[in-house]
Amino acid sequence: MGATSKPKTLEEYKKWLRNKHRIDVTRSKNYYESVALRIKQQFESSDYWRSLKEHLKEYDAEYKMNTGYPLLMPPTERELYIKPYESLLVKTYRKNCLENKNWPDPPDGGWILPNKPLTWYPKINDIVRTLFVVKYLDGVEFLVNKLIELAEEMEIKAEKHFVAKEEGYYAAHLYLIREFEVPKENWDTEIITLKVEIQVTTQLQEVIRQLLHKYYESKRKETIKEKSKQWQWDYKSDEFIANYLGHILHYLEGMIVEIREKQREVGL
Amino acid sequence: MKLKKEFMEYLADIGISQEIYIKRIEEIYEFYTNTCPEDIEEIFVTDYFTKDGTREYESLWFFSKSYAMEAKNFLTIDEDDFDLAPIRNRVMYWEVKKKNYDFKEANDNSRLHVYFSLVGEISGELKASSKNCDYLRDIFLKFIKTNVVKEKP
Repeated sequence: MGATSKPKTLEEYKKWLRNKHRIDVTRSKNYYESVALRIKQQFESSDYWRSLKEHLKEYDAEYKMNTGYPLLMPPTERELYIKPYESLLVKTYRKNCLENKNWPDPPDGGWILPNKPLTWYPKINDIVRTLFVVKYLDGVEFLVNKLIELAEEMEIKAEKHFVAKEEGYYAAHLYLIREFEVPKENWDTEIITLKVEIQVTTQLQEVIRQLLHKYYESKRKETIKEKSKQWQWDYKSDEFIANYLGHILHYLEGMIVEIREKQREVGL
Repeated sequence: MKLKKEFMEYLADIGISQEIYIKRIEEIYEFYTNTCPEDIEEIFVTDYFTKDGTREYESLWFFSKSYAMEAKNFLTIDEDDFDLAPIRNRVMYWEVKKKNYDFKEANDNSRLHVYFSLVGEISGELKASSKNCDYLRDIFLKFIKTNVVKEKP
């Protein structure tokens, strides 16, 4: 593989990291997992997470009073997840190579390299994340606003994004921004500022997400290929089916809430 | 499975005496006793200090004459992540980084980090703080330095 050839696969990318940047992927994986675990532990024991778990029943009760229906899909107890190292590597592969318009030069903002965690980890939004699944579409905004309120009460910086992708992915992403003390590679610790991601999505979107998870993962690893047709016109492609299914479900969920509210208006 | 007396003394020396931690270490020791083809000779726990002086423990290592064993993040209860690698005459590269440590006698501010890679693209990292540096030094001299691949004449 030449020095300026763009890696075509994840395996080529790992070799590129080793050859060009002298990065041992195994070594950086071990360190990442150690850091990610500490972040998860700290967030799990944080006042915000504990408070959130205590408040969920109240949020559910308030939503039920307003709509007549429960807010959350069971189980309501949620876990925190660590982003697998492989996913992280794929993300850097996309930014450094696949989507890098400056190739073979660094992308805007510089290379994102596993051996520079101080610069790298804060750019990854979801090293630690969790997911709440609500029954109805309006529950997404309701819950997000409650989570933001709770963050504000505790003076934690938070950002919300209502994500609607061309590929039919719909969810709210809430980011809590705070400091974490993580082990340095050699010894002692350092303080870094990171975002913890809380996703809120609907039951139907979650069903489709689980069904298509493997498809999305493999898509993220692919080289961007020249296509003879845009997927929106390629009705035989997997993308056409998967992506429009996501859009259709989102539309259906909107209609369900609409019907539900009309029923309530007429006292049904 | 009960730990050897010298293992218990080591653990006490690096601040591990809580029953729940000892029990966990004993479980892992039993696992490796049953899976390693040789007698386990040494134990080592990687550690570091947080800014408020709390000592955190990461990986639990065992060493036999020919094998190195690592239980990563051994005090978490989420999952077990155990591995074993042959090390006899297989160390291709080692790297030592140290601070406030003369490789003779550690003090509270001593820090030591050892990285090594083996034939077959396997590597390991061990870190130590304070008195634990002396133990890591011994592990390094006994199992890493002596197992560097010998060049054929």
